[in-house]
Amino acid sequence: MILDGNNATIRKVLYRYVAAALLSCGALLAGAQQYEGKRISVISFDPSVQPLDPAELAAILPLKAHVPLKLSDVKRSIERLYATGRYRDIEVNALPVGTDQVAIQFVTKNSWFIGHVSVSGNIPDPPNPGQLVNASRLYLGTPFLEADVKAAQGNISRLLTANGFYEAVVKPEIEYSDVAEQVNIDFVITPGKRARFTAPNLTGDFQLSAKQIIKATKWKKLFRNTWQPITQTRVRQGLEGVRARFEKSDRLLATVQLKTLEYDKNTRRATPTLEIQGGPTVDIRTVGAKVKRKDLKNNVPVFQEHTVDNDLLEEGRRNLREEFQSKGFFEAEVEFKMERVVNGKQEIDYLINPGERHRFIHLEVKGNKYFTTEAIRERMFLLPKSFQYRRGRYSEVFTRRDEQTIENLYKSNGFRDAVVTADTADDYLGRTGDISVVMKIVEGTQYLVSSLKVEGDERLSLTSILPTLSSAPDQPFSEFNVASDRDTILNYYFENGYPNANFEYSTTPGAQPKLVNLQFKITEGNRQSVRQVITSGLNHTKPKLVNGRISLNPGNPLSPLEMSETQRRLYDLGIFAQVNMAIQNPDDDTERKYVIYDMEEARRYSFTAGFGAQIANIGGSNAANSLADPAGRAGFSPRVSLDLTRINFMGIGHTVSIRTRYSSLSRRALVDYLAPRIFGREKLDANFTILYDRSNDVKTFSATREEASVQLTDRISKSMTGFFRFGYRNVTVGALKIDPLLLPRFSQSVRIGIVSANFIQDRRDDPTDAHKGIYNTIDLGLATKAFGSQAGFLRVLARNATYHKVGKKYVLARQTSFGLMPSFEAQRGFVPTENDRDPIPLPERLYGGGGNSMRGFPENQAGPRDLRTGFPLGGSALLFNTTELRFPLLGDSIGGVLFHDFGNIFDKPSDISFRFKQRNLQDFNYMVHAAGAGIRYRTPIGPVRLDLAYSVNAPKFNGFPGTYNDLLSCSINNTCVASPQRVSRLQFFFSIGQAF
Amino acid sequence: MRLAFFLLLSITGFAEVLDRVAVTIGNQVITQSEIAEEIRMSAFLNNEPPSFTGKAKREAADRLMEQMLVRREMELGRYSEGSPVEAAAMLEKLEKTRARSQGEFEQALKTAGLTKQQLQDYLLWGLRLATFVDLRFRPAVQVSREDVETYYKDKVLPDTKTGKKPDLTEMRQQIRQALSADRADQQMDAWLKDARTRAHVEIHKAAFEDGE
Repeated sequence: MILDGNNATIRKVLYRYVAAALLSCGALLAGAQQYEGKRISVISFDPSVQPLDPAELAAILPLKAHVPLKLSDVKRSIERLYATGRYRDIEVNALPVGTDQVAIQFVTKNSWFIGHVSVSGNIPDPPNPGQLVNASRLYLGTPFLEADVKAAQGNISRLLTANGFYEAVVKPEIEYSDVAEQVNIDFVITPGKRARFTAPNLTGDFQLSAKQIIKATKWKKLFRNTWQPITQTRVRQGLEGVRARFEKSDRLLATVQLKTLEYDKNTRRATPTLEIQGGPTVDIRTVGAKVKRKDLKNNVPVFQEHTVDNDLLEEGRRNLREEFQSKGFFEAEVEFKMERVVNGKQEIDYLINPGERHRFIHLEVKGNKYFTTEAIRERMFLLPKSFQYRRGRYSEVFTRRDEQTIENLYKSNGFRDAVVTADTADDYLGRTGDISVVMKIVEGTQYLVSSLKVEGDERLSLTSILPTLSSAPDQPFSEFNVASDRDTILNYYFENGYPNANFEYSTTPGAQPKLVNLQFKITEGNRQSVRQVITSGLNHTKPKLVNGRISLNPGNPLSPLEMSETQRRLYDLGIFAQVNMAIQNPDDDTERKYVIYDMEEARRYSFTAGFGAQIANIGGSNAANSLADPAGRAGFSPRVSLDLTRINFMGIGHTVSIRTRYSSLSRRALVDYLAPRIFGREKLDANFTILYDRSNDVKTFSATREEASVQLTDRISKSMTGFFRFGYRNVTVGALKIDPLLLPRFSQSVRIGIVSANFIQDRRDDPTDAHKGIYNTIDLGLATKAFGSQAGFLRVLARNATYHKVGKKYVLARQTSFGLMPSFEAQRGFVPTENDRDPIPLPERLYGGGGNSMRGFPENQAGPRDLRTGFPLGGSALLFNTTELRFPLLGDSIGGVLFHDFGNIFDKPSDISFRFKQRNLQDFNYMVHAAGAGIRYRTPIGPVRLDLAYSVNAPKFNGFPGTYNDLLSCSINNTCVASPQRVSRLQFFFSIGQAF
Repeated sequence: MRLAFFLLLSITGFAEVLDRVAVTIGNQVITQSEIAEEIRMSAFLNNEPPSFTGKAKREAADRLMEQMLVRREMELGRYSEGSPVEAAAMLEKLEKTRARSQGEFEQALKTAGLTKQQLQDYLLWGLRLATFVDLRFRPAVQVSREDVETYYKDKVLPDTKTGKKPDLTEMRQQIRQALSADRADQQMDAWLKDARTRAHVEIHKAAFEDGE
C-alpha cells in the first residue's frame, strides 16, 4: 500500500518523515561519540540551586553517575527535564576525566511563571483596575514570556484608548520573585486626561438627518452645548442608540459602524466617523390576527439580527405559532410572505390563521407501571386548565418535549425500548374546543445489572463510593446510569489528585436475557500533589490571616475541591475583590505542583447612600402639643441613609462601620466594630456597637436612646444561630402624649443594663418567600440592678412560624408570637395608678401591631392606651397569631394571599385573654381579629406586598379633642371631656417581603 | 558538584557540548543532535554531502517540528498503531528490490548506520502515517468527474508526446487517485500550517549557528 508507487501523498509524507523513525535510535553531535560508554564520574548542575530538588532530579534523569554514558540518555535527559516545565533552556556539557571517565554538566535556565498582575496609577473609572488587569491577558500560573508583556502593554493601551485616554502611558515593572519562579508584573499607568467626543462625521446613505443621528448617539450633553467624555460603554451605547433609532423608523436592515475615532491632541477631542447604511424600511405586519408590536419584536428575530433572510423569518413563523398556541389557539397556522424592495420599502406579512380558541382540559397517562402517574406528571410541561392557567399549557412543541422527557426517564431506568406517544384529541367529551392528551407509554423490558466488576482501582480505594454507584447489581442498567457512575468515579479520582484518570466500560450478556454483566475499567494515571501553596497580592492584609484559611499543605493530593474550598474561605473574609486560583503550569510533567492564590484586595473604604420611603398608617403629628390621631393615619415617611465602612481594619479582616439613617420617624447613628472569627473559631463573631437613636415610631412619645453594646454571634449550625449580648443604654423620652399626672415618672431618663440571648432556627427553603420549613426564634433578656439597670425585668419573646405546601401550588403559613416582660425591680419613684400599673419604663415595653405582627392595627398601635389621650402605652405581655394561605394568581409572577390575624398586647401576663368583645373603652385586654387579602408580585429581592386587612373588633378608646395644653388646663380644672374614637377597621400595608 | 566540574575544567581545559535544546513546542523539545541527524539523513537519502549551515539547520528544524506536530495529533486522536506483520512484509519486499542477497542488504544498512529493526520501525511509522492521512484528511477530499476530465486535458494529454492517446476511461481511476492524494497533501499542509500557528514554538538561537 505504501510502497506500491501509486500513492503520491504517502510517498511524499514518507519522504518528509523518513528521518523521524531513524532518529529514534538516538542522535549524536559530531565529537560526542567519543564519550559513548565512558564512565560518568560526576553529574553537576549550573546553577547549583535548581527548581527541582535533588531527589526529583535523580528520579527524572536517566543519566546516573558511576555508570557508562549512553548518549541516547543525554537527549532523553533533556526531554524529561524540559517536560517538567521548570526549565526554559538546557545544555549538556561533557568534560573528559582521564582516559575512561567523563564529567557531565547540565547548564540550565529556569522558566518563569506569571504571578500577581496589577495596575497602579490614578486611573479614573472606567476602565476599572479589574478590567485593565483582564485586558493584559496575562494569566496566573502560566509561563512568563517577555513578548507577552509587550502584548499586554498594547492591550492595556488599547483599552485605555477605547475609554478616551489617548495620551496614556503604560510602563510595566517586572519583579522576579524568589518563590516558585514567579514574576509579578505591575503596569504603571499615567492616563492623562480623558478625551471628549466631538461632532461625528457621517458617511454612507443614512436616510435620517444628521441631527437625528447625533441625538440618538447621546454623545452630546442634553441642554448644554458640550460633548460627553469618551468611554467604551458610551461608544457602544451610541452605536446601539443609532441602530435603535433606525429600527424605530422601520429601517431594520440599517448597518451602523464606527470606522474611526480620530483624536486631536490640541483640542483633546476625538471625532467619530460613522459608516451608516440606512437601508430600506421593512414593514413587518400580521394579517389575520392582531399581534402587539412588542410581541412581534420578541418573536421575529429580524428585529434583533438586523437582517432579513428566510431562516429568520421561518424562526419568526414558528415563534408566532408557539405564541398563539400558548394562548389556546392550538391549531394556529402561520405563514410569511416577503415582498421585494420597491421604492426603498420592503413588506413582510405574517399570515395568521389562529383557528378556534381551545382549552386544554384533560391529560391522562396510560401504560405506566414502573413510575406513578404523579411522578411522570411532575416532569411534564403540559398542564390542563387550572385557576392559574386558564386555558391550560399546551402546544405541539410542549407535547413533543414531554414525550421525550418521559421516554428519557424510562430509558435512564433500564427500559431501553420504551416508547411514548401522545394522542391528542379535540372536542373532548363533545365540547367544542376542549382538548385532551393521552400519553401512551409502552415500557418494554427493563434491563438490570447482573454483576458489576471494577478493575484498575489499585492506588486509590473505591470502597467508599462503590455503594453510591447507580449501576449496582439488581439495579436498572442504562447508559445514563453508567455515565453518572463514570462522573462519580472520575470526580473521586480528580478530587484525590488523579486528574488523568480514565474510565471505560464494557458489558456482556448476563445469565438471563434481561441481565447485563457490567465491567468498569479504570486507568488511574499518576497522582499529583501539592508542592507548595503560594499567595500573592497582599498589600494591607496580614499573611497570617490568609494562611489560616488555607487548608492545603505540601504533599496533600492536588484536590480541586479543596482548592475551591480554600478560595471560598478567602472570599468569605469579605476583604478581597478577587481571589484568583491556579495551578502553576498545570500541563507540565511534574507530579508535585505549586498552587497559587493571587488576591486583589477590595477597596477598604466604601460609602453608600440609600433613599427610601414608608407608606402606611404611620401618620399623625409628632408635635408635642398635638393630640390628634392617636390611632395614626395614613402617612408617608421618606428616609435617607448614609453608611461609611472600612473593611480589613489593621489588615486583620475586621470591619468598622458608621451607619446613619434619617427619616421623620427615626434618626439614628451607629458605630460598629466587627471582629469576625474570634478566638480562632470560624463561626464566632464579635460586635462592639455604639448607638444613638431618636425615634417616633410609637406615636405616644419620642425616645432618645444612647447605647453601648457588645454581642457575640455564634453560627451554631447551618440552621441555628445564637446571639449573646450585653447592652447598656440611657433612654430619654420626650413629647409625651399621656395623662399629665404620669409625666413626672415617664419624663425621667432611665438607664437599662440588659443581658440577652437570642436564638434563631431557620429551616425555611427560601427566607424571602418560604414555601416549606420552620422558623423559630427565642429572645431571653434580663435587666437588673446588678447590670447597672434602674429597672429590673425579664424579657421573653418567642416566635414559631411554619410553612406547609398544600398540593403543588398552595402554601399554608402560620406564625405565633408570644412575649412576657415580668418586672421585679421597679423604677425609682414608681407608684401604680389606675392609668399606669406597669413599672417598666415606657420605651422598654412590648409594642406590636402592623404589617409583620397583627394587621388589624397600624404599626405599634396594639394594646393598652392612655385613658386620657388614647395613645398606646405598650404592655408586658404579647400574643399574636397569623395564618396565611398563599397561592398563585396570575402566571408565575403574581400571587395572592388570604389571611387571618389575631392577637394583642396585654397589660401583664395574667391579662392575656381570648375574649372577643371589648368590655368598655378602658378595656384593651382582649383578642383583636382581622382578616384580609393581599397581592404579591415576585421580584429578585423578594415579593412586593400589598395587604388590606379588616378588623371585626377593632378597639374603641377615649381620645382628647384638643391640644396638650388644653388637656393640661382641663386637668387642673377637672373639666376634660373625652372624645370616643376607634382604631380604623381597615388597614393597608405596602412593603417588600412576605409578612413572615 | 558544580565545584567538582569547575575543578575538572581548570585541569583539563575544555568542555564539549553533548546536546542542547534547539526548539521547543509546548512541553516538547527538539535537540541540537536531532537536527544534526536530520541533516545527515536527508543528505543520505538525496545522495548529497551534509550541510550544517544555520539555514540548513533551520530547514531541518522545520521538518522536525512538523513531525512532532503530526505525532502529537496522532497521539491525541488515538490513530491505529499499524501492523508489525505488514511492516515486516514490506521490509522483505524492499530487501528484494534493493539487494541481491540478505547479506548485501545488511551491509548497505550498516554503511548507512542503520539496523534492520530501525528500518522496520520506520516502515511501521509509515503505515501509521498512511492511516493517519487516510482518516484525518482523505474524508474531506472530493474529486468530481469534471476535475478528472480537466486533469486529463491539462496534464495527461500535453505530456503524451507520440503514439496513441491514453484512454480517459482507463485512466480515470488513476487520475482520481492522483488528484485525491494531491489534495489530501494540500489539506495536510494547511493543517500543519495552522497547527504550527497554534503551537507555542520557541527557537533557541545558540543551536542554529553555522557548523556541526
